[in-house]
Amino acid sequence: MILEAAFITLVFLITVYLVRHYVFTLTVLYRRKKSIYSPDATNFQPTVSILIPARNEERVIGRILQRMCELTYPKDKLEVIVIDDASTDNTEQIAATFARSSAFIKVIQVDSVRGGRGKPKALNEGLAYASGEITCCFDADYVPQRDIIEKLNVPFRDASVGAVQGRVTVLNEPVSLVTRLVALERIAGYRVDQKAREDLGLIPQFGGTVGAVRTSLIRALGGWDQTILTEDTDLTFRCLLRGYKVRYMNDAESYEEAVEDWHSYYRQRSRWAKGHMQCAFRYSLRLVRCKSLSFREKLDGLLLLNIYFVPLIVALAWIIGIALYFANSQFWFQSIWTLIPLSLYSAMGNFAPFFEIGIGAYLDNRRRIYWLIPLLFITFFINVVICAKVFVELCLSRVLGKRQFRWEKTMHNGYGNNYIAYSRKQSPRET
Amino acid sequence: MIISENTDPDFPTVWPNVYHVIIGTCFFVLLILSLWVLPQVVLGYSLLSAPILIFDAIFIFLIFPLPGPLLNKMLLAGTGNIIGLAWGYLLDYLAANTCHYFGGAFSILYFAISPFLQLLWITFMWALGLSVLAATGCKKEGIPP
Repeated sequence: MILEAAFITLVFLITVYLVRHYVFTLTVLYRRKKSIYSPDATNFQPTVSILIPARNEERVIGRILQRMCELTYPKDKLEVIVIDDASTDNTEQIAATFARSSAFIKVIQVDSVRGGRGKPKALNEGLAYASGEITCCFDADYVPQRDIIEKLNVPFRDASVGAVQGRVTVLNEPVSLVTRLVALERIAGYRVDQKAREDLGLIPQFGGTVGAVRTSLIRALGGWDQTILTEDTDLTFRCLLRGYKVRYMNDAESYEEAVEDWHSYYRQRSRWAKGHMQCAFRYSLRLVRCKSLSFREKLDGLLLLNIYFVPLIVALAWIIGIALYFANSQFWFQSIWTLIPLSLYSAMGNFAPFFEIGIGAYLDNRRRIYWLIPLLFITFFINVVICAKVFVELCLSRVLGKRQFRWEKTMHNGYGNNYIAYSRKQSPRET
Repeated sequence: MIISENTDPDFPTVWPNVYHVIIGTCFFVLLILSLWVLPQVVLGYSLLSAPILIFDAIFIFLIFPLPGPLLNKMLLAGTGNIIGLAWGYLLDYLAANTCHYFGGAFSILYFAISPFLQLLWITFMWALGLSVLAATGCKKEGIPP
């Protein structure tokens, strides 16, 4: 009886996520909203500080600083702060070269005693020097569009908007199977998931990079939380609980260098899963109690917070389902069991259900990437392992009272440079 | 891969093609009848299975409403049903033989992984369908590969 109740509950939860995926995808496909950005909307130009945390990023730091020099935003309203987080390579020297030639670029050095403690710590070091009304964050391996600041600024005209997130696209997609699969996940995550949340007036997630936040708000919140591994998700919910909105701008695009091998993928996703689960434990109840949010915002927030439990739920439903089938196979069970493949179809992975990915790629006018969609089973099984391991670790750390987590940095090799050169030759639309 | 800027505002609005959905539904009713009623009369058992029904439902509601030639959609749907039928037979045959030679424990394994194995062809055919429609759409709009 207990097993049966557990099975029905799990199938119900899977079905909720299934419905969510379909609602999001069909919204993006058939209920499109025109972008609020227009190239003529240049009368709103607040001062902007761009934070670029960099630890041992000598292969990519020059690329993003070159792009910072090419930004179309007025340079007298812009400052770029490179936070050299105790690098042991030439990151600081390369950044200093740019700082010498461009007055709006500053380099802050964090020594080895205070440095190397993760991105949130580095961002807080940079925030102390930020003088702009809006603070933007970019990872060192990113290549933003030249007019990205104008685009990210548009929603800030509304005083209730606290943070704005832009779109992330994979730059080094052709490198390996991993980069191609990550590209698919990114398409679903941003082109469909985030866009649908924005269009439906739900809760777009602040992603920590290619994002902007009001400097006054982030200071009032005490900066980025250094105890959480996904400081971006944490900031999203702190903004919401303070009564501010988070918006998503699909037009504001930036290219990232995705992880290229399974080991890096595993480490990066482990960090994301752990951070997300930390946030789920911290904010789920607060979100339910929050009076400034509507029911559907709360529901969306809860589903977003608990997204990394989905692979676990699916795996658990599968195991219990098999046990039940052989222990006590009844008609109602047979009916529900047939739901499992359909549920799996739309509830795989973290942000990567198949239908979302397929439609995201379709909306992006992609032609050939679809053949990789069945291979997302691989990432699903990896995510089951990751989420199970992380969940056990988190539970153990709670029981044992040990709550310190190490920040696992993702290394970038700068191979994305090849694809920028290639794209410039190929694309007449690149500005 | 092409880096493009401001792609979203230029993208034309898509409306679900209800006409294709209606025709698709009729097509699938015929297909289901031919897999269910006809074999029941002739062979004494049905050829219809849950994965084929799932595939058909997915195709009617997720592929048929998209822009693209109706003939392509129907050909893809028909191919999908044939592949699904063959796949199901192959799996059943494999399972029966494995269980016969290696023991009943393999029936548990077969039962456990069958949703996953069935999902493989469903996902593959759906992705193929989307790929064909996307390529046709891009060609029509003159978007370079």
